[in-house]
Amino acid sequence: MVLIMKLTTILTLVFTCSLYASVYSQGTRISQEMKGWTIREVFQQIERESRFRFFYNDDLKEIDRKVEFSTKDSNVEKILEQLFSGSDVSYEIMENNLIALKLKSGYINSGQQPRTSVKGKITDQDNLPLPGVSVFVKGTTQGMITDVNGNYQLSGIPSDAVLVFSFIGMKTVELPVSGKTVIDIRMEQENIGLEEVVAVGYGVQKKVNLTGAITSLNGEELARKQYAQTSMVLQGIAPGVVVTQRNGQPGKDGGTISIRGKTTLGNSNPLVLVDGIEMGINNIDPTMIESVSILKDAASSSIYGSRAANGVILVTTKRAQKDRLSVSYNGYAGFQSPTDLPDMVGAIDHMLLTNEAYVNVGKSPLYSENYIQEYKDYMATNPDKYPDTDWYDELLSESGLMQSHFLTLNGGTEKVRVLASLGYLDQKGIMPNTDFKRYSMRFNTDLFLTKSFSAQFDAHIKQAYLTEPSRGTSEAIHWAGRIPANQGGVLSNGLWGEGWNGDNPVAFTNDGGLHTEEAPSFTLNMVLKYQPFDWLSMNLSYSPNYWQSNNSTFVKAIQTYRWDGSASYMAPQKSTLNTDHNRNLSNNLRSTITLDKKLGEHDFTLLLGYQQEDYRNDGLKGYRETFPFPDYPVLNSGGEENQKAYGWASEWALQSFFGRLNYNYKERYLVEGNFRYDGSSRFVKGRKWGLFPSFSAGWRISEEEFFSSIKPVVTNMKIRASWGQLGNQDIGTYPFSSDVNLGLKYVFNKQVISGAGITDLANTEISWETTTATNVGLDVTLFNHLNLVAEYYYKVTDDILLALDIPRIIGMNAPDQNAGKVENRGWDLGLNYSNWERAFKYEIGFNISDVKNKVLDLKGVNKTGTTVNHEGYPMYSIYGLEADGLISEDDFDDQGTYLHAKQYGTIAPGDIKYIDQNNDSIINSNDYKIIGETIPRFTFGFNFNAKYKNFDFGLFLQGVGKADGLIRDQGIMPFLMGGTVQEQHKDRWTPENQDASFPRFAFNETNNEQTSSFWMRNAAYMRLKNLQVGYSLPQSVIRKIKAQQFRVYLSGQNLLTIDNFWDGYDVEAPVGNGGYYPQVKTYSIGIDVKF
Amino acid sequence: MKSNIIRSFTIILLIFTSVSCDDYLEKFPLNNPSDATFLTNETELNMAIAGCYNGLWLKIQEMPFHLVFDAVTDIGWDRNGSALQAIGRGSTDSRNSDGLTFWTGMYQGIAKCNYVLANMSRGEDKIPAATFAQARAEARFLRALYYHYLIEIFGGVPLVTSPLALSEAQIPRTSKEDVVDFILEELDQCAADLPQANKPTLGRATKGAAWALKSRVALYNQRWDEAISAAQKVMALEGTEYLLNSSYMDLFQYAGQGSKEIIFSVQYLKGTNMHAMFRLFGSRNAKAHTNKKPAYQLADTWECTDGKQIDESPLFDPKNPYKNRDPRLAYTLAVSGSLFLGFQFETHGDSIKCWDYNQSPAKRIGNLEATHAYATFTGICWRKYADNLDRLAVNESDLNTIIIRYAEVLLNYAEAKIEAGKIDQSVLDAINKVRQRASVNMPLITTTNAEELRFAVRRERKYELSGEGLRLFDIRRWKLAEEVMNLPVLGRMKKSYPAIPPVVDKWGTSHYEKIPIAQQGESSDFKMRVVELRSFDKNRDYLWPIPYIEIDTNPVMEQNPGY
Repeated sequence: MVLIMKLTTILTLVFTCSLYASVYSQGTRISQEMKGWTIREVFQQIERESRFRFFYNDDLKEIDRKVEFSTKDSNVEKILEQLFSGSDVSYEIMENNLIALKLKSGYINSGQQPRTSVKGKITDQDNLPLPGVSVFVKGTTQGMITDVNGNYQLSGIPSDAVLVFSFIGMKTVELPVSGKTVIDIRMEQENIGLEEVVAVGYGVQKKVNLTGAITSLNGEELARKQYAQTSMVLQGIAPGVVVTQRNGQPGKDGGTISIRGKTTLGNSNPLVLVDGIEMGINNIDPTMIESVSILKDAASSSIYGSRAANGVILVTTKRAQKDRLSVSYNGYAGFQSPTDLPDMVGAIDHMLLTNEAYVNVGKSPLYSENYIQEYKDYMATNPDKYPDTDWYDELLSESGLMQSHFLTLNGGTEKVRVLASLGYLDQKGIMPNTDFKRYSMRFNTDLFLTKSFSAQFDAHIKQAYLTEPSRGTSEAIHWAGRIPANQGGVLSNGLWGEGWNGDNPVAFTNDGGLHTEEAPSFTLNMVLKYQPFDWLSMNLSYSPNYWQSNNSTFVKAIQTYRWDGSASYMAPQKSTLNTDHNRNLSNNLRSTITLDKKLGEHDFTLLLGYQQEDYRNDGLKGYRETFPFPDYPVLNSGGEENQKAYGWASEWALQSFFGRLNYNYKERYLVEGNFRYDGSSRFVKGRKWGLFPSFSAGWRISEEEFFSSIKPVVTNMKIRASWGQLGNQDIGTYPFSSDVNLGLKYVFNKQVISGAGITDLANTEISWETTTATNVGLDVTLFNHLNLVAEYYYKVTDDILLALDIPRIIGMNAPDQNAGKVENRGWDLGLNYSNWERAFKYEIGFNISDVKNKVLDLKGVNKTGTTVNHEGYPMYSIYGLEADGLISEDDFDDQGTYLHAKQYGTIAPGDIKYIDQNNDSIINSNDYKIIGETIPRFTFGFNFNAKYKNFDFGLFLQGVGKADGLIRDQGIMPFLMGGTVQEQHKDRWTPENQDASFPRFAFNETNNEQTSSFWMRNAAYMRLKNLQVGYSLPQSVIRKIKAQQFRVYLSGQNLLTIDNFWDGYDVEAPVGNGGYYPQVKTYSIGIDVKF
Repeated sequence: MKSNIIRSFTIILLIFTSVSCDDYLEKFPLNNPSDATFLTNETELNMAIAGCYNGLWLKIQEMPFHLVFDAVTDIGWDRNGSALQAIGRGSTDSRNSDGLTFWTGMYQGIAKCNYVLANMSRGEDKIPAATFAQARAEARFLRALYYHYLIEIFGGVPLVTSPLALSEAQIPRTSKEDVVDFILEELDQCAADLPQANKPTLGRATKGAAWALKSRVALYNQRWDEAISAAQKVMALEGTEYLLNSSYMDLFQYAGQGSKEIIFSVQYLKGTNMHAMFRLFGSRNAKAHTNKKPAYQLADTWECTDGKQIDESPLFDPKNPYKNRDPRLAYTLAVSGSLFLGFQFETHGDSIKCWDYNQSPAKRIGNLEATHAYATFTGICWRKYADNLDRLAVNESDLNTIIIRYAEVLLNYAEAKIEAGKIDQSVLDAINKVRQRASVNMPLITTTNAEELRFAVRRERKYELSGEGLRLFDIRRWKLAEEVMNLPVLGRMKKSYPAIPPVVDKWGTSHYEKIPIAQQGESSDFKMRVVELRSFDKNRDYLWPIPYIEIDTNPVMEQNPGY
């Protein structure tokens, strides 16, 4: 079986290639000493050095005969002649460089059998011809592979022969000829890839033999979604993996990924390794990805030790296939629009409502009635003097054109194979001057040096440009939601209006200079593999990674104008330029040795390895101000007065020893153990090293004898369990060191004097943070179609590295301490059903997971703010007062005295009523409590893909079952800090409208401006994340244009969201004041072509 | 086969052993020196002392911290809906962010001084004795200054006098009395090692600064004799080191930065550290924002030039309320009809045009003070520290801000003497020196009646020191806050002036009971505008709340009553 699989793979490759490559020259010359080699080894050598492939039955004894000879410059035919002269084996060199071996006797001795011929056509589920399928007479080497039209023809075969049809990824079919002369077969996809391997730490493993919790994803499916940032394609597709997108700005719209909850209070991003090298996941174009493995439990990730506490994502890039030259292009273009925006009131409403807010707090009205009347009268004819500005509309004026082009070239010879990919992405924003461009290039090269040495040489080059207005998109949105409509944006003569004291977001996004981030990176991955025996391999890799971040912020002074055209504020008053360049170099050296030995039914794999990684950053920054030529935003064109220069450097290093032992008995009982011993430069001597072990075991019940009766129903069933420990050291680079801050200058005699002092408290006792995780899982396949993966886990993180609040009387900044303890318990469930056997084909996937996070210990210190970590509650909980609706007139007695606990300032009916948690009759900070949880619970994803004839359809829903969100300040609170209001605020409390959704307007009164549950909303949602309809050209047309595939599609992202969150804000909005670049919908059209 | 195995294992072994473990993981900071050898020479000591002064640059609501306190008194208001505004309105709690900023900033300054004082002996043998002693004295002076602000705002605070390790940081509050003892003692001791020469733009502590501060701290805490003697030591240097500046106005402008009246001020430098006083105080026409505003009541405080209050003086003309008044009114406030920052400053609602004298020739322009919704509110602006030289960079002023000046010392002296029952000619001289500054020249105070004199000096402090951040401490120690902080902040009538003067009491507080005040919903065109309603709880609001972080992290920390 294994042989056949191997053969078919080879055959397929050979065959496909032959369509495009000229028939291989018979002239390949081989020179080799072959003393004491078996014929099999000779064949392997020929296969390595030429394009010939051998085709034989493993039972052939001859194949293990040792030969002694050497060839010099012989062609293959000559070698074969030498090998088999005088033996009973004959050979035939067939088309496509196949060499088939047969027993001469096979022909001679089979005379008794009647002979017959058979032919047919092999198709796939789509009834498309399947070339490259191997068709054999069972038990012989007689056979062939199907041609480009899926046809085969065998003659002279025994009439009682059984034919075996096999093709990789398809279920193998065996059929007796029994007199038929035509046998057409439609092959079915193999649903449970029993042979499927997935990437694990420092290697691969057969999926069925996994004992840890790993989700593997197919790169092709990831590339189906049109996201600029690769992190977003992971949203909703893997149970236990939560991706949250907090804004939609080009280049910054990547999601934050958390795997099975948050285990640490600091950086909780998972470790992302692209072909073994740490890299930001967004650095890589989704189209480059062959597969992604997400290591979720300690057993699978503890081999990454100190950096794996937040889970590990292994990205494997596509590599070249042998003997194949192909070109493919994937591209799409689309446009974006915001998912939701606040609807602000117009100028007249603003003034009327402001007066109401003033009068309600006893102040005199701000706008006189006469003025408002005058405004109404002249608003239409003199919009400069009486503006009615829709700030969001004027600010978000762009269409957000987005395009992506990706070209893949695959070329391979016997010894060298190259896959080159080139990607270009350009995502323009919906706000002026926001843009993200990424050029990516990857060359994956495989070199087969000798029989036992091979090498990989990969280069990844990325260049990304991010552009945004110099004052930032958040600030622009913030102002758009704050400046009243009666302030001018753009005057009718095109000059910039005053905005808000010169802060005019329309002006400063269009004309206020740019902030640019250029982030080139160059990564090499050089791997040397040495495999002296099939059970022993060694791997040595060196991967230098050099990247820069070159940032420039040119804040250009903008002259704004009053309605009468006279010059108003210049904001800011002078142009300034900050330019910085950061150089980063990391060196990563890895070596592993793998022993893989099968002793009877006992299968052992032992991996031992060493890794070291070091990093250094060097930065340089310059500043100048006053730019007489603002079109030249480089340092040299700025004034020399006040120019400044800065520089800095830092470094860290990690060193690790690791190992893994896998053992299985009959692929039925599976055991695995891992360890990693990590040293970090971040800790002092004696505290540098940490050991992180893990163990796991699995039992494939479906392989047991007693299970055989239900096997037709339950195709596969495995239970597994794991335990392990992981670490984290990702805190400031030198947390142990108490150093002198050289930034404490002062001025004496109008001269700057350098100053110094100790401003940060050091903690020499700091050491590793440890996560201990337990996982149990169940994998079941029913009826060969329905896959189910269910897992339960418990994780607890000790000694969390955390800058706890410290008494401020110390007068220094808080150090990191090994202080916290957090637990996560949760479950993941994934279900998958596919039916590709009918004309209407479809697959359905559903996953849901939940994690309950709880802070167990913070040394009694509770961090305060709007989102807090408190003992006994989940991390990032919302902390505030608990609102109890609005105060009514009944809450006052006859004398007008408020009957309940004293609140903030002067209160009146229509203000928010708070619950006095401690019953001390006063509402203050002591009444704050945890009122909500921001960590999403019950996250789910649902996808449905279908195909009918040449059409395909994809639908992807994703959502969160339980979460709270909060908008505060200018985002939702009426007239905060003199701002304005939204249309929805009109439903405010007034004596006539007591059943209102918003409190009464009370200018600058703080009672309604407290963080409270009033401003919190349910942030659960379900989103139509992607909808896609595609059409592939039929084979007949494709062949005419000499293509292999041609598909066009229409796709939409974020099309529809069902939620109960605040109007005007996306449900994934960050907790805060609403000042963030809005999430977007994208509509795009794309094509996938392959030649 | 065998050789192959040996070969492979040799390779592996080579890889594994080529690594030397220890050095690879030894990484130390590349940017900053370690503190182990810090302060071992004079250069480092000088840098560390500069670091102690650095704490003076603390800003609250973008303002130099020592100037903000007027915004939470009866004479001022923060227009921004800020944490500071909430304090003034009497609706704050321990989460107040400005309270936390202030607390943290002061203790950060103290920690830097403590570090120097605890570790400077490392370089004692290499540093000239005089330099060493002066550095020590400067650190002690600054520490005393920071503590002074802390106790006046919060009451007793933990008295930290040496660097605190995390494990020793849970210490209780020391009583205000004890901290005062400490400050007075420290100031005495450091004065000995500080230089005598007053160089206002040098910015370093002097003997006079220590004594002047001592006179203030002692006065604030009823240590009359200490206040008197400390003030006398400064007064003894009058003529040589200290001198009242003949121009009152110039003191708060670039022109007066070098004045010998300035005893200690915070130093700024363009491009290094600047403040935004022009923007915070300046008018709309001058492209500033007037975020911090004087209460209108303040304009009615100053006497007429005959030395009588406006409700008594025949010189007061209700239609021309700013005429014939103590010149300090026009130096402290920009009032309607004056020239302010190169513009005709006019807040009458119908004055939709005004003159711009910054242009040459002067030009009539649209008058934002009358038409802009967020113009002055109260009809007046602060004038101190808004210098028209900053008009092209409203956020980038390097005008030094005064912490203590000689006029205050004179008034400290007078008040301490009165309270100590030691009224003599020197008391009158001290007050009258201030009143008779060339540019002020108000009639002499002649009464020797203790009660009259007590209120004369209290009013004088308001006339002289408004807008300099000292009013809060006065209304607190006089227990005046519970009265004046329950009054609303008023703004001028938009299109008129009251027909009669308000009633001005012995404190200099103006009352408007007989003047129309716009009631809820009423136009303020012809009635006093209500800018903010305030309340003050005398059982609580005399002290700010201790920031919540301190309570959370220190179990022995006690909160102030009522919070």
